[in-house]
Amino acid sequence: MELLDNLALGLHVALTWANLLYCLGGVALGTLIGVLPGIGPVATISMLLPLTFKLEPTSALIMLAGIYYGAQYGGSTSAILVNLPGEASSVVTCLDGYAMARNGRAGHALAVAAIGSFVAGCVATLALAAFAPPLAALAFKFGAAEYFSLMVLGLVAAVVLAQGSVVKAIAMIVLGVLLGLVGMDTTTGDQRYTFGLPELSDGIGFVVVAMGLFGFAEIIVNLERTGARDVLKQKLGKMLPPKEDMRRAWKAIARGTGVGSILGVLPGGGAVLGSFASYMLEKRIAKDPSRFGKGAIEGVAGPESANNAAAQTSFIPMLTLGIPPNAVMALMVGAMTIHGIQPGPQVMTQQPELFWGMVVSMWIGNLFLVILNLPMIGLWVRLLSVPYKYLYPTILLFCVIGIYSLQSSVVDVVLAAGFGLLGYVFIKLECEAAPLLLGFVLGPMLEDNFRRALTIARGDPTVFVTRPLSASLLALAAVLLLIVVAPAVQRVRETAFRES
Amino acid sequence: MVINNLVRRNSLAGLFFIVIGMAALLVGRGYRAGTLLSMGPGYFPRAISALLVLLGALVLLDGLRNASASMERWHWRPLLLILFGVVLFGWGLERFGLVAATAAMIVCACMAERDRRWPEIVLLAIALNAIGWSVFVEGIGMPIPLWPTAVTG
Repeated sequence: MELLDNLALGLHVALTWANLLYCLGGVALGTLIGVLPGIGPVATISMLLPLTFKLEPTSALIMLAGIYYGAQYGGSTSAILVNLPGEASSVVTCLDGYAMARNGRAGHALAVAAIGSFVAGCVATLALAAFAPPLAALAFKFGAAEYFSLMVLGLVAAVVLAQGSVVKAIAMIVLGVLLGLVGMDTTTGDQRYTFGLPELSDGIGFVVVAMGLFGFAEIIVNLERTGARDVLKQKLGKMLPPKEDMRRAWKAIARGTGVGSILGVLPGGGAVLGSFASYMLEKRIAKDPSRFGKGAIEGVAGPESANNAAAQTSFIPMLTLGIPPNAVMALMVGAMTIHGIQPGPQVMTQQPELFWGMVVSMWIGNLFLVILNLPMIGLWVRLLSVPYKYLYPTILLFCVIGIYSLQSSVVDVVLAAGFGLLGYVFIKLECEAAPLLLGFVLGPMLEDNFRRALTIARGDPTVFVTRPLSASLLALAAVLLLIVVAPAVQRVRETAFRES
Repeated sequence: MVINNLVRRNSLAGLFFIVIGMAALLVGRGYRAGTLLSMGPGYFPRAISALLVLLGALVLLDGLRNASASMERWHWRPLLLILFGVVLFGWGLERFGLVAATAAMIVCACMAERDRRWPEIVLLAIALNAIGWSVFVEGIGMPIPLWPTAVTG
């Protein structure tokens, strides 16, 4: 069995002491930032990127991946205990998780969240191992025209599934693509939009953009929304839920895992969407939907399984096609590029130890996370009481040193402050910043493939619609766009997101 | 009615996109476009900028026709002090060293909140300096000057 051989190779890589340590470090850190509201995986991964420069690429990616799925575990803790989502993907967990905690069943809620996440993590790891190779094989058949169309489809789909106004989200993507064009044109060597600054000729660093938009802007907004956080003082109660509850929870976990695994692969999908969809599903199929919001265990088990499954399967398009489906994966693409790895189907064939090591590390990481989150839950609860006034100066310091260390450039630090301002404006105008980051990362690739496709086709612009694979990808994108602007779908989208 | 909607959130967002797109067209007006067969550096940027202007116009039109919520109030104190702190850090790092730059940024950032006591701010600046030094300079050996160049020579 090829799959078993591959997994054996992965085990061999992931079980070295160094990689175990980085995996543990990553998931512990992920849990930490997951528990703490006001700092998410995007900001954390960009902050830590410079720290991973000197590591082996495999170790670096194992750690960075651990932060993302680790955050899904931690996010549920603050949602259940404080009614504050530590992560956006735990927003729906607040509804029934906090209700359970108020009924003195915090322990049950925490346990079922951790168990659900673990099951989902194991299944998603297998899905990744099983589906990535055929997808990568397909990707090898792609030429420049197909890549261009695939990226267009990915960006369109990201918009369809995202929250809020569609046109605004597309405009944000286009703005991101535009920002990605800053710097030297790789084909002709001309400078574009650099305003004579030599620091800009290599383009704007994606860490600079991510930290500004997600790090600084978040801090500023958090400071203006001063609300008291009070940690639940009462005891956690027993951890293991009674049999009757477990029976209900298992089914929700299975459904949540399925929903999350599928939605994670879709462009624009990922942890947040997975958890919302799962909550809606649970509520819809429940015999007595009125229990929801009052402490239904399915309302915790489903979404918490879904967000972890989705976090892991969202690696599939990134690792096999080189196309990030969400902002965190966009950062992972950046991380790989910094380590000299071009994301795409060739990663699996040229660096199998990196690919399979990462896959297996996810399973090991999930094992660590169960241990970190069940017996050691008390530690994280205490961390919740760290006041934000100590937290944000620390985050700020890690951000600025992190930015500087990328290229020892103070211009980058000042530029990031500019993006902080931009991010603040976006929040005030209710423009989501995640699509911009996707566009920013894909922009240069988009232009490159566009040019190459046309050069190969001797300047014939119909190449995108005459090659069957490219044409069907574009057609799919067009259909998606049409569907989403249709009034009926608009209404469903609105209600879907309002249920939070 | 339409004029009232102009200062609402969606219309402003539309205007914002239009202005950026126009500016990109203006700055890039000298970039050679070339032909489809051999594209110059200006072809793709121009197409993207034009698309941004178009999308901005759509957002603006929608904003004018349907009233969106008015923009949330801006809180200038945290906005300016946090960003100023970051700029101060960037400006001071290579001139005055990591220690001074960190301290300046932390003081600035702490002022973003109203009721902070000075002893607390000073302690925080010292503690974070220790963290920054031990993690980045000692830990991963980043070449950052700690003190002003005038002192160390």
